[in-house]
Amino acid sequence: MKYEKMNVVKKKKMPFKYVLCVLLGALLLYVCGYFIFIGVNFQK
Amino acid sequence: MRKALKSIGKYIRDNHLFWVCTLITLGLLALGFFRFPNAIGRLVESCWDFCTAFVDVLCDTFGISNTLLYTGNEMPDYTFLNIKEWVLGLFEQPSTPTVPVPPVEPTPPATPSVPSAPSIPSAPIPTDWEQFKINWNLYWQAFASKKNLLLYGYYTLYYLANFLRIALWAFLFALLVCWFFKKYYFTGERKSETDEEKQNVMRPIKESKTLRWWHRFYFNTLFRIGTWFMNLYYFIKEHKDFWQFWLLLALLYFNVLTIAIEFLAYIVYFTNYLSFGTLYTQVYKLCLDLKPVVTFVPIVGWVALLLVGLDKWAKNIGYERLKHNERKNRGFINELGIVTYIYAEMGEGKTTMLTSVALSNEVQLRDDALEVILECDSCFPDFPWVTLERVLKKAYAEHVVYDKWSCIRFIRGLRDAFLKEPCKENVFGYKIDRYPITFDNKKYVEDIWETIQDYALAYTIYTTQSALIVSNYSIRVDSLMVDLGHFPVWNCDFFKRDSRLIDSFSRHSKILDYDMVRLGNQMIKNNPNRYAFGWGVWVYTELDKEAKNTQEQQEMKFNDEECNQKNDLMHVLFKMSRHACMIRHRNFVRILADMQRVENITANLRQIGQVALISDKDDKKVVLPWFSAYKLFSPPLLSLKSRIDNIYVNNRVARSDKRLLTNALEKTRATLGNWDVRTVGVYGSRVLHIELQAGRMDGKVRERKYYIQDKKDYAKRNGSDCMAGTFESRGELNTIGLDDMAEYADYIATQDELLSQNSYTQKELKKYEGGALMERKVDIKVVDKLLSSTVEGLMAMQNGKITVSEETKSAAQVLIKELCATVVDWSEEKENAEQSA
Repeated sequence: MKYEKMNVVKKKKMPFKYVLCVLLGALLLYVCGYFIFIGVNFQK
Repeated sequence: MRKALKSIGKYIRDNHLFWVCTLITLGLLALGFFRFPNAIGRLVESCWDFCTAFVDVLCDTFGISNTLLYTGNEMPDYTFLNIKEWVLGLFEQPSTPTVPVPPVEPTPPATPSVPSAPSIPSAPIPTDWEQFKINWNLYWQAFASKKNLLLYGYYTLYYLANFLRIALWAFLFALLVCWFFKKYYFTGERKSETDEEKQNVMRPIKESKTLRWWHRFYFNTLFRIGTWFMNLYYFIKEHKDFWQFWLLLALLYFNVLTIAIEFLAYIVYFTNYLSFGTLYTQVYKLCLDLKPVVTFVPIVGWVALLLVGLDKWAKNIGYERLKHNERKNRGFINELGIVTYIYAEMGEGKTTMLTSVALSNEVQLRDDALEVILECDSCFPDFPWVTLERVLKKAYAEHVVYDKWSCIRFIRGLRDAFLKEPCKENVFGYKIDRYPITFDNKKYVEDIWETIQDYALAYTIYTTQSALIVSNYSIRVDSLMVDLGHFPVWNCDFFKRDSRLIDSFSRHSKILDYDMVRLGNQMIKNNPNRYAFGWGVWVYTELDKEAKNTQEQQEMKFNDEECNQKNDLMHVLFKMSRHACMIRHRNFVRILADMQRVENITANLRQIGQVALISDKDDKKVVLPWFSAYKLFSPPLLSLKSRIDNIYVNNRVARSDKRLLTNALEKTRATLGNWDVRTVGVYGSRVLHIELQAGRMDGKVRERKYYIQDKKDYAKRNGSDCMAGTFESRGELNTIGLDDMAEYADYIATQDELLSQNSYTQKELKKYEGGALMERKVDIKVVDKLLSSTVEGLMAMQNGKITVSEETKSAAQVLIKELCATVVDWSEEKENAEQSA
């Protein structure tokens, strides 16, 4: 018997809120990176 | 010689873990020598700083002239006790000692144009405050520079482009791999098994060559290495000397001890002189002391440490939140009266809530008892309460004291002896000639024997080791009594129980005998349990089925000899329950019940207590904060798991053998799934919305919340099918499975199919619709079936398949005879009907 693949288990999607928080977190890290960038080069 | 070598080899083999630990110790010492040569010098310096600070302050306080001033404000002298330089100096020509230059910071990708800074100090900040202020201004100038901002953007884009280039190739490669596996791996159907093979259901599952190789490698190599490391771990754990010495070295190398001593020294100095000008020097020295640990651990290590530390912190917060929710639950149950009825629709979690409330109530009773004990203790602080406890323990062990009234009798007996002959020997050795025997609480004067009685009652409740819950279904309790032979205390923390050990410390609730709560007629005459109602939490699930409402009680007579819901006076006991056990104005009886409809009990019973309706329940939430590993990583990982689930199921449909990749996927999905289950099992919490009102149901609803927490309420507390035993004997007689049942032939049921439902409706419809012959035929069929099944049941009773009393057995015998006669009559009628047709 030919078997067509099925999505038997419901695929769990990442919540939108989570994705948004991850993006905001990345942006925050990027901004913090500027402080470190200046600080590290200032030492030089 | 060979023999000696052999014995040395054997010795090393047997003690190889000891030698490994010794080697690690030597390695750590060498590390200290080469990497942290200044550590000992700094430690000695810090001790000297502490001494000078202490002497300085001491002399200053007593006005003694002192030349030994505090040295902690001077910069560290790295030439002092520098072991490395000292050892190397032994082999070299002596030279002028120089201050070692600290390791150079890792260079950034490029240097932005910043205003020229003064000379670089050995720590990331300047040595003095004035220079720091200058640098601070320069830093913000550099920060606000447009050029630097653009440069930062440029470098970001540069690295982003590099990253994207790699990511693109990685993505294409992953796509190719996925396509390959999808086409040739997961869809490839294995050669089907022969019929002969299929006959053996216990045939081993076939494994691919790669999987067999992996299993060999795993069990022969990786597993052994893992076991060796585990042995090493347990060896180190057992031998405290090793790990304590390593910890000491770490504290020394990372200047932790130095920082602590310097801090204490500076506190001693600062409190005397309040020298704010020296604060910056201390900050600078702190930076210097922290530098070894900061530069020693790589950035990846710091990130890992940060994540592990955050997760640990998050778990502590999660645990505190669980405890906080439990405290809110305690607030809720303290608001309830003595009797509470919980009701809701099926599946809303009323028995779960009932069990949870019972557990919290049990803890509350013990807490109340402890409160009474402490209160009594403070009334007569010189009374030898320990002696009273010993006497009570003995009386309890000899079953002289076992409930409230036996305890009161026991204490009254001792009091009478004392009143006859008032001496300290008759009052547990209390020195009545020195200390008072009454206590004025400014409301009334309390006699010592009243206090002793209250103490004895509370102590008996508090030290009862079995559960304080009496219920008509089983509830598991796991409070732990910590008793070192003096005063026992209870550990009632629901959330810190090791799930692997629950069988070792669990107790279960006491079996409720309904005769215990019947003040009137009882089911069993002279039941020894009939007077046992006393302190504790009395829990009834499905009380409505037992108590019944007024309509259902109509047929019952109060004057019946046998007990029934009218003459057993259970409702009277419920009304009187608060009088059963009061100690120092605290009630030690609680009655809790659940039911589907609160109207299914009489108003008389209902209006005694409060009714709590579970109106709604929220989704389950994990109470961990956002920075826990679960909250940070679970959404993408569980999303990945659901995708692997699909691959796994499709693979299971297509084939039964095992291969390396599918095995790896199985392990991955199991690991992710188990992580989720375990985390939710500990930190899962759900809010039930409760509408609380008085039993008279006057519509004055108070909205409350109750927290159902997985670790407390779903840890095998009670079966959600707690009454499953009712169906057990029926199940033993059943021979019909779902597959054996008749199936509808088409999408519309035929008349015969409808009639085979034995439904009242169908029977009625048929009766008025068809002729007498049809009706009779149907009736005969139905009755035939009914009679035969009834006879079967009765026969089972008589033959002992179902355990019943002798009375029921003899009644069954009579019924069988009657039914057999009826069957004969029906058969005759059936024949006559057929002939006439």
